[in-house]
Amino acid sequence: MSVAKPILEYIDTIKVGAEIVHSSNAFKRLLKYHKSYVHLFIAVGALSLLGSYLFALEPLYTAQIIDLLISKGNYQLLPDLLSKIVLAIIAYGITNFAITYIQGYASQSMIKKIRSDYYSSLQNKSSNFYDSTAVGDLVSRATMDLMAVDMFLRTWIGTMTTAIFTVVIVFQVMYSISPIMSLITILHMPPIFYFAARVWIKTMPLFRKMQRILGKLGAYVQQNILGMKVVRIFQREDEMLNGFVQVENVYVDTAITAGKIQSKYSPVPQAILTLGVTIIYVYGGNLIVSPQSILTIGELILFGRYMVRLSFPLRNLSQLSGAWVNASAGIERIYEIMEVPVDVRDRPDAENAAINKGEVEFRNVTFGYVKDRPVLKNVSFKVNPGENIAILGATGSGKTSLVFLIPRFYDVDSGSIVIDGRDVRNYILSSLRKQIGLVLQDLFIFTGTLKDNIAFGKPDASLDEVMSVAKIAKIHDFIESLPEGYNTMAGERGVTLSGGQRQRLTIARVLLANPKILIFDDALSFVDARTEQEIQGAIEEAMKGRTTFIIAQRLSTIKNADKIMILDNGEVVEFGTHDELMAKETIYKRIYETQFLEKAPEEILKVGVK
Amino acid sequence: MAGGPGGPGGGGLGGPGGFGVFSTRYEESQKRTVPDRVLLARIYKYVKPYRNNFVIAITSIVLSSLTGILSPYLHKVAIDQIIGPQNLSGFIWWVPLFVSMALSTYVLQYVQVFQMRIIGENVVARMRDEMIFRLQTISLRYFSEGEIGRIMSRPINDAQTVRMFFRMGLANIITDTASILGAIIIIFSLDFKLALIAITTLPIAVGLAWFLGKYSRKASRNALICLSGLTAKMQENLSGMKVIRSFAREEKAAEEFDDVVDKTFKANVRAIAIAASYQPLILCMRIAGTALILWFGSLMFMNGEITIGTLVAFTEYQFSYFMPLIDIVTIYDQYQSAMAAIERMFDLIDTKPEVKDVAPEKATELKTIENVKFENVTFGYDPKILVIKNIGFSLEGTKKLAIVGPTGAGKSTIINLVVRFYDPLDGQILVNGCNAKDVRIECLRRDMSIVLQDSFLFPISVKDNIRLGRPEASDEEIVETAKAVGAHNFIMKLPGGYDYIIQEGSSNISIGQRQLISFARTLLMSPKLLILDEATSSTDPYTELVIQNALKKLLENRLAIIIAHRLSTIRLCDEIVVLDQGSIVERGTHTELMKKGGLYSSFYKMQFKEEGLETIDNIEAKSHLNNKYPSVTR
Repeated sequence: MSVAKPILEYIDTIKVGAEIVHSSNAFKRLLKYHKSYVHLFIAVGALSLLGSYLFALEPLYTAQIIDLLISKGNYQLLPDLLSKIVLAIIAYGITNFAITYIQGYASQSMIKKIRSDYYSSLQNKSSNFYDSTAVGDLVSRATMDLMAVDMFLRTWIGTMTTAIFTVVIVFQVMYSISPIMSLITILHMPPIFYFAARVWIKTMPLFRKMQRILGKLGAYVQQNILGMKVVRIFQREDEMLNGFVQVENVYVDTAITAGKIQSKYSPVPQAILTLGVTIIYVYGGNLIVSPQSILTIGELILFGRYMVRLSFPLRNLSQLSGAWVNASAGIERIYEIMEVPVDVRDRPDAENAAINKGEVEFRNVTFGYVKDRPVLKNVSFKVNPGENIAILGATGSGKTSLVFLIPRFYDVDSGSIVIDGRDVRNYILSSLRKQIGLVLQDLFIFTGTLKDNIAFGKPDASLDEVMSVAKIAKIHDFIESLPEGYNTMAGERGVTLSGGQRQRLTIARVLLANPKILIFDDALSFVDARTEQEIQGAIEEAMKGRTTFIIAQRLSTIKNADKIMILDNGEVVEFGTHDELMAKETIYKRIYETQFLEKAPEEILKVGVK
Repeated sequence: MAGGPGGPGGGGLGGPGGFGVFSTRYEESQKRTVPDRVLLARIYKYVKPYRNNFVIAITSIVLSSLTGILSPYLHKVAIDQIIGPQNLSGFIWWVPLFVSMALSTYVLQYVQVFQMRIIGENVVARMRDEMIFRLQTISLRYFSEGEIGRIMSRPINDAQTVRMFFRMGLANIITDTASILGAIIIIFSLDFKLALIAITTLPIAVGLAWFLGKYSRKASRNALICLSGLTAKMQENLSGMKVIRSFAREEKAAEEFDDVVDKTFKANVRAIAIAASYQPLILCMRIAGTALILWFGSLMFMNGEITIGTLVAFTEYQFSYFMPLIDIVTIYDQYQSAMAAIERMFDLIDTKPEVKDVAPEKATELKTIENVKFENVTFGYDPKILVIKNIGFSLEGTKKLAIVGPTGAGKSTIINLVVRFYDPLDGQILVNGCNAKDVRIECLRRDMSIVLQDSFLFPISVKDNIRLGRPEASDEEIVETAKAVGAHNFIMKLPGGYDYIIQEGSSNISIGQRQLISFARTLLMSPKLLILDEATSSTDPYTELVIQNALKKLLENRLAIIIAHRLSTIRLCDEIVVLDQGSIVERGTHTELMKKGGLYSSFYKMQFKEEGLETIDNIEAKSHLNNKYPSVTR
């Protein structure tokens, strides 16, 4: 047995190089985002033409100076040539800056658009999707993967045009001097590009793999630390270390494999260049010495320089091929999510109807997250306006699924749910959800002020409105006691709220919309007995005049309900008032009779001592 | 056109590195106390096993940069002595020299890259292993909530920084230095005066690189901060998606997200603008140097002071000292980060465990725990702030002790001392009559087990989680144990049954199920002393009943110390200790404490009055029902 086993199994599933398969598809997708910036890319193309030309000038002028000196020609030309060099480079510098900046700007604009598109697509995904996808993974696609895409986008057009223009311009200059020499020079370029690109294409997938292993190593250490007490008590220290070493070994092996490829291929271009320059010197030397003297020393040096200079844009191009391996995988990961179909959406005939009474009826509802594995089976019941229903059942009995069907977080497989005589699917989704108050198990507090948090569903609510619901939820006094009152920041860097306070804040938030239907989803399961007492009053206040569904753990809540529903394996097995259910030998009766055993003296002690 | 320092393309051939593994990277201060010399000497100890590789690597780095430096000189020779005087026979020695140089450069670089990789990866892996080893033994105080991010960044982020330095920085520093020194020596020996002119622009260029580098790093750090803001916002919105939906606030949330995206966009464009100016400015500085060389070189050539080959060599040597120098400015920053990271890593490696075994010859071996006694035990995590004072109690036979009291009374601290996560400041804990400090920790922990409030499970299969304390247990034993605590039924319903993999944070099973698995894990270990920190969170009534039954099973024939929250649990105990502000304020059995009419009983009564529920005696009569309760999943 090994704590690292699942991680090692996961690593085994990483297929190095599998990403390249979808390349052309990914490219088409990326191209779509380029449309709005065509003018910028035309500018980049034009600038890189200019840049390639300017960059070719410096060696040319240097060669001319050298020939001038050797031939003892007109020295008056010297200052002129020198200033030309300086000017050409300054102009090149400006061009280069513009190319980098424009591309960066365009790339960032596209990334911004992709991010927004990606996020909006996430907002439409079904709740099913969120149940099965880790938030961390979704976020890393918008950050890490898009960073990889950005690396490609911010260079690719400029790199390609520069490579082409440089080759064309330099070749032309060289050709006009010596066709054979220019051919010799240019022939060295394909192998240089081949070996440089090979390194990138072969190692990039390995680096991606390493990145993922590193992420797993981090998660491993985190689990090790979070579970440290268990590790020590169960004396699994050695095993934790061994597990780490096992995963780490895979990492080191991968790094060394990548190192092998890099060490084998990455020095090749340099070696080819050195050999190429040698050939140029020997052949060029012959031409210079030959009776026709078709080459000058300056020109010979120029060829040497051009050989090196031609290799720069080609190496950049090879690096681009590496960036593409990452970027194509990144964009595929973005699209993988964007293409998940949306299943809950507005029907064409949906209406913006008001829920005035709050009557809820389930008619033969069957529902499941996976086909042929129903979580709810043929559930039918009717709740009258203003009634308060407590739902009980074991884990997996379908309680949460049942209440989530009401605001249409999921759609039923068969049957229907009817509110005030209208099928929930005939309400416009946003209007339906706005009119149903949902208090969730995780008491989500957003970054923002306490007022913003309460006014979450109604951002334009006045402070008076906010205060009035805060009073009902019994959180007003606490908020007022804070130095900054309703403007106190909450959330990650804000004030720390206790479980009970968060709970009451969430209740206030729900009440602001004045919904006719209220749902408490397991809302009290993390709250201790004392806190429950704190908020019991708030809940009772909130329930007044509203149809309420409450998934409850504690008897005090359940006992006060108008009706009690017992769910078992997706079916409603008992439904009635407390007295009705107590009158018979029901499951409810058995639970009720034993539940008060779990009372907590500690919580009461706490109140007492202070 | 490699990107500017820290700017775009900063990742380079390095592959994974730079940006942290975790969404919001822990920001470390760069404060240093240990001098570089000491750190480097210590790092060398890790390199030592690879000494041969290291010598080979360094030698090839130096040699390959020297061969690189030779080629402009050989070009000069070709121009001045072969082509110029029209004496092509010189190529007979020139060509083989050049070809062998090209080949040896290839071999040297191949060796260097590969050897450095082997050394770097292995050295960092060893340091990382030592840190992970250390983690298992250092005091739990290092794992308090605010500290976890800091401690975690050592073996992950810091190690990564050092890896990257080994991979890129170290070799480059040597190559660059060798290249600069060699080029400077050669140009000064070619012509002193022209060499002086050639290097005049260097200080300006270095200053510019340093300044722009700093500025650019700041801008790209700012962009990264924006990105982590974006990460946080996205995380918040996605985690709160149900809330957002239930208020139909999607549009507003998208607007807010777009604001953050836009902020990130602006910060990035700014960083790009700065980074984009780096390259051209440095290039202009270099060309200014070239122009100076050409201008003065031409004049000197005209005066016959230098040959044309020398002039050409000067322009070529500019590449050998100018860019490497700029490179070093960038690497210096990398070097400093690496040193800071190394210091923090050693800091963790050097942390001494507070609780450890006495010398083996003095250590007491235990077969089984027969009794445990606290004698006037006093303890505080900070010695100045005592958390428990003069605690005394004893356990023997199959006695069960309940500890009750308000939050902060010191209940968990007592548990931490029993299992020796910490040692008492004063007083002593006796196990079978021996001071617990003299008992081998392994013996002690082998016969005790703990059920924690949060029932931490590892992200491995259900089976392996249960097996945690007894890795050699057979599958049959596991199933039997799971049945005994009533976990078998729900486990069988999980996809894959006992092979179901628990997610990190146990998010794919319920709290009740988590508790049952941790009960099974403990029961399988069959310890003599059971320590239970009862969960405060309640689960659905069905599971609650199963848990209560499992608990009874778990407590059979054992010593137990229980931090109790439920009356049903307290009732299983032989003695109740009421803790308040670190001291025992009351003790006795439930009946005794009720008769005594002290704190315990008054709170107990108050609770019943408030709830208006039946009295305990009525329940006693109905306790036969316990056996008929429905199981968690039927």
